Amino acid sequence: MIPRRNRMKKRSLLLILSLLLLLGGLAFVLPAPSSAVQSPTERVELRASKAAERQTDELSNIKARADKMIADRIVSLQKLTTRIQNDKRLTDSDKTSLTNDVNATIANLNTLKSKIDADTDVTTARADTKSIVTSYRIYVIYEPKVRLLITINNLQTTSTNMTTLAGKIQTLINDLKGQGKDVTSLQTSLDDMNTQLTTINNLLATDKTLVSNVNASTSNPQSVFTQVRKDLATVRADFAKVRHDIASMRDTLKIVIPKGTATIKPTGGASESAK
Amino acid sequence: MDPQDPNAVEPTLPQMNTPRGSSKMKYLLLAVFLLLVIGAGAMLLSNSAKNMPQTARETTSVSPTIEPLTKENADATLSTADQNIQSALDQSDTDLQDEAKVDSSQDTTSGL
Repeated sequence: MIPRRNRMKKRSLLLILSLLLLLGGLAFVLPAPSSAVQSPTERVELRASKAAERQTDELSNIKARADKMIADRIVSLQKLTTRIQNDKRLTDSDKTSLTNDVNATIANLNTLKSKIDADTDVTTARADTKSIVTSYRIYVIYEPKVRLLITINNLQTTSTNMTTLAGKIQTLINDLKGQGKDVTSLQTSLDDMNTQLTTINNLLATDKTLVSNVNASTSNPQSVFTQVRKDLATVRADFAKVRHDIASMRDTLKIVIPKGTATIKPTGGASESAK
Repeated sequence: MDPQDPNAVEPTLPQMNTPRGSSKMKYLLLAVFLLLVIGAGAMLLSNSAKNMPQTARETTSVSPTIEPLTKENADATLSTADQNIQSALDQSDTDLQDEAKVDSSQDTTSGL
């Protein structure tokens, strides 16, 4: 009887030990409660506190990203302002108009930055940060637009100066014709120059309107920019033809006006005209 | 000179006036000489400005008006016009290259 009782005791002890080991293992595996004693209210408060912490972190991250996005855009816009200010062909009104527009965009971005910095919730901050892109489209629309406008305005200035010069050439041809000189070749070259200048002026005027009308809400600005780039390639080719006409006229003038009858000297007004 | 001294001799008029008078004359001559020098200098400057070549004077004055194209300036004017077209085309080339370099991928809302 005794050995049987001892065996029973041993089995009981083993069972108890196994249970203790199992409980100990579970204690390691299962997460420990945050506090030994926690009321439901405390648990809700703790969860709310953690959520608020996460929101604050997220808000800070959004603001930091927004600040960098705005800073990058302002740097690009300031480079654009420098480009405009240093230009020698833009008219004063074009310079003022473009500079004012870029400065207004910089001011608006700074205002948006202040708003984002003052935002207190993630949803608003995120929406405002998105508006840095959607409301301004600095890289997709604004910068290409201003750069194309600078190019168009510059070429318009050159074209205007050449048109004025063409008028002066016509007067000279008329004078030479009056003196009995053969001006047929000169007139042909000048007529072609005028034809090229008319095409150039029309293309540039159309393109200026097209580009000026592009804004952040334009659905397909790239199609406009692509068309304008093509037109500018045509304008450049037409200017090459104008240069060819000028070269022809210079050659002809050397025959029509023999050496010794004229001393060649540039005039201040002429260089100004072709600025 | 002590007026109480009975031995004191009153100076004669010529002895008192002669040195003062010659000094005045010197200053007068000097002033006339200086005026002559200044006048001559002004005349020289005026003449040299009149004789300055036409082109040299025009480079300093910037006028927006275009002078008439004449037989004399035609070739040089057309040459300058040609150079200016070339310069404008070079600038437009640079501007178009800068425009093409704008990284439009920065304008994205993904990840926001």
